[in-house]
Amino acid sequence: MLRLRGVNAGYGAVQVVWEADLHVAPGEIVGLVGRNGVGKSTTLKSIVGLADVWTGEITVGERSLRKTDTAGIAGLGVGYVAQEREICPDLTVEENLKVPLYATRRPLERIREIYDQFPLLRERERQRAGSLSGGERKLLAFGRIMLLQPSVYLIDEPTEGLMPSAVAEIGALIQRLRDRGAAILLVEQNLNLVRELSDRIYLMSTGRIEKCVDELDAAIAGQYLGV
Amino acid sequence: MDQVTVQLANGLVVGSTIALTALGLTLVFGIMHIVNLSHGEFYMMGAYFAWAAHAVLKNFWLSVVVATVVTAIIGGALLLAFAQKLAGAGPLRWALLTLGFGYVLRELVQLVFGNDFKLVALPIEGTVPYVGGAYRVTVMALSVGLIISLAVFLAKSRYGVQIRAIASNPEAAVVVGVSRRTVYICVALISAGLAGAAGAFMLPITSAYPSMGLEILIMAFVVVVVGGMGNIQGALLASLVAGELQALLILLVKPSIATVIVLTVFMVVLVVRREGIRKLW
Amino acid sequence: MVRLLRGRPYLMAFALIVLCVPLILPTYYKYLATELIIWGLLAISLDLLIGYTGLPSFGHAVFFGVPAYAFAIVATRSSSLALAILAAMVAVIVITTLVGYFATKTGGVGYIIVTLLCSFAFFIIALAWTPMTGGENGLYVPEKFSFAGLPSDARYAAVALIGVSIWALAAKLVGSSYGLVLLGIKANERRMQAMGYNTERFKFQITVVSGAIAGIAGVLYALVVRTLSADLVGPELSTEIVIWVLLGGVQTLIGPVVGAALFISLKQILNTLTAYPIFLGLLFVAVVAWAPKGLIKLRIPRRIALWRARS
Repeated sequence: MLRLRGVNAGYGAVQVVWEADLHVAPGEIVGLVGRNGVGKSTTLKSIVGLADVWTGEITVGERSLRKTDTAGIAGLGVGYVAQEREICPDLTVEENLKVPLYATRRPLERIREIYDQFPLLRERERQRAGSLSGGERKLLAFGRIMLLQPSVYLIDEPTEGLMPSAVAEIGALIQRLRDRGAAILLVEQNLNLVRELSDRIYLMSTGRIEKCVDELDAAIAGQYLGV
Repeated sequence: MDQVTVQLANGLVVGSTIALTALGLTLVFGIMHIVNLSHGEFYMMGAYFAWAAHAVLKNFWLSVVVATVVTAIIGGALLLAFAQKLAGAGPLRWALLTLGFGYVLRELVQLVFGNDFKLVALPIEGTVPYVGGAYRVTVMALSVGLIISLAVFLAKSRYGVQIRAIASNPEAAVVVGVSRRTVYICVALISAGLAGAAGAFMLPITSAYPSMGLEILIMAFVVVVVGGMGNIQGALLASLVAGELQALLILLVKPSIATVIVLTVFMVVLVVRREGIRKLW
Repeated sequence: MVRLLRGRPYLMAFALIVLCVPLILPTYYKYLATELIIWGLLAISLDLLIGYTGLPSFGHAVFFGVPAYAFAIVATRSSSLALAILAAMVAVIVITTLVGYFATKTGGVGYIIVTLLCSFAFFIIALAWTPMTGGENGLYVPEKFSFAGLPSDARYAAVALIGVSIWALAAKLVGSSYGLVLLGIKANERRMQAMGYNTERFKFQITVVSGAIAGIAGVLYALVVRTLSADLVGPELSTEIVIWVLLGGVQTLIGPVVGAALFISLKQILNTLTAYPIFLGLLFVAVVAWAPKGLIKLRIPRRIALWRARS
């Protein structure tokens, strides 16, 4: 169970997130939506230590994440799939996959499991990750995080810029991860996908998480997303 | 003709020494974003520690190992000690700080060892035909060996891949569990160690003296900047060119003039590259 | 100049001290003060680059020593003072153009390295080109071209007058809108470019101004001290000037002068202690690590007041 209570976060002296409260249980996909710039990414980043957290509690189970650095948090089983610059471009696909295994001292054989799920990555094994297409890059990003075997996934706009078939593939992947028992917090602009995947949706507006709904009807979508 | 081949070989020796030093410099800049103006003093420490160890141990090669390790620890510790304090500070602040380090290290060495040249006899005597001194050839081979080991380490080993991950995209690396601190420690130790080894290798050839650091620093920096800060292959290539150019020019002009010419050539390349190459694409 | 000083009591006091006090001190101190003004000018010229424009020149001694050498070389060969000064001016223009061009094209870290390199290159040239520069022996400026003939009071007064005037001009420059443009370039060059400023031209201009001031300091040095050696263009002096500016306080014009005076005086005073350069080096490291804007910006009076208010 991922829980945020009263989190105030930002960068340096600039506050972006005010009094954030949310929770995500294992086996749940929870959406986090809002207009551009309201602080959704910052909320995710503050969980893994890539943004400054001034006050509040961030816990996974009993454990507070605030005392650990980003690398440690990854080791604790919190996987963050960033919106951009999610992979190491100068390393090959294979090396990108080795990094989490080297860092957390897990056996290299685990890479096979990723290749089994994503045969495309096996094909591009030796290719420089920076030369992958957008969709392939996302698969690689997911692959790396999955190798950490996280209990919590924080996913930031995974389908941005992807073509419909890739979007569907990512959607199916996220569902599979949920089925395996992970708690998933999903930031997405693609409303259809959010509706389809999420059990619950948090609505965010100018730095504050204002509501949690089960359904995203047109009125609410209009108010929080301007559509 | 003999002279030319000897100088060509000499160029390789000089080039590989510059390369060893430059590699440490470019690593520490590319990964820790440190402009280390005291790197030359790490080289100097290597030479002095090798001399001191030799006085006690009487075995040259063992002294080289000792000097490399000690320099790695001292140099690495210096950089790491301030890495936290200066996190996020620009290159200028690091340049100033390491300027101070270099100054203090130079003075310390003069205090402890005095101003004179510390000499050690050539551990390998004799010459190789067409190529020059046997010791120089050995040094070059060892330097190349070290460079290759480093390349393999970075390419294949568990820590090497993590180091490259941080170099490529720190956030993506950290987010999958790579410890930035561990990587920094590795890089700082390797960087200082390489410089120390280079200095130790050079001890029998140039002897140890306080300003030896400044001399190699200039060349190492030129090579790093021209090769591309943080770019290892670039630094290696530039080192080779610098070494060969210098060695061949010595056949024609005074050594100091040769150095000036090499520096000028590289500076022109730098300016042309920045402007000209952009225009080419 | 009076307008500049009004409302800044510390500066006023400082200017008065600089102008008057040495006149009542014994000759040795008068001489020291004369030298300190020359070094102070040099420090000011570097502050214009590092502190105000964000150009970290690590080879600044070149702007100082090369004009000095140019002056001395002509002075030893001809009988015209004017020609010697002209030579120095030409040197300033050539050097600032050369270095300015090379260095600004490489930006950031490259600028640091290239300027350091230039200093090193000129150092080697000065040592090697014996027929011109006297090589390792250096050059000696003949008496009729120096201030040696003047009584030490007049000598000090002349140098002090030149020094303070230049400082006033520099202060006016950085206080004006031109100075604001420079600060803008230091803060965010791209933005200044986006606003339509030709930053290359500004950087070049300030390099020339800075070089000119350093060159004047160099010629004064030749006139007063009369012995020139390759050290005057080399990386050791270049990096020491950076230390003065940092120690005293960047972006203040006065700070670097204080830094220079402090560092040089400390060197003299501590001279007797065996390991004194180490202390100076450690002091510098401490300043960079904990007081990166320089000592003068520590605002000791304000801090003491704050501390008193708290307790």
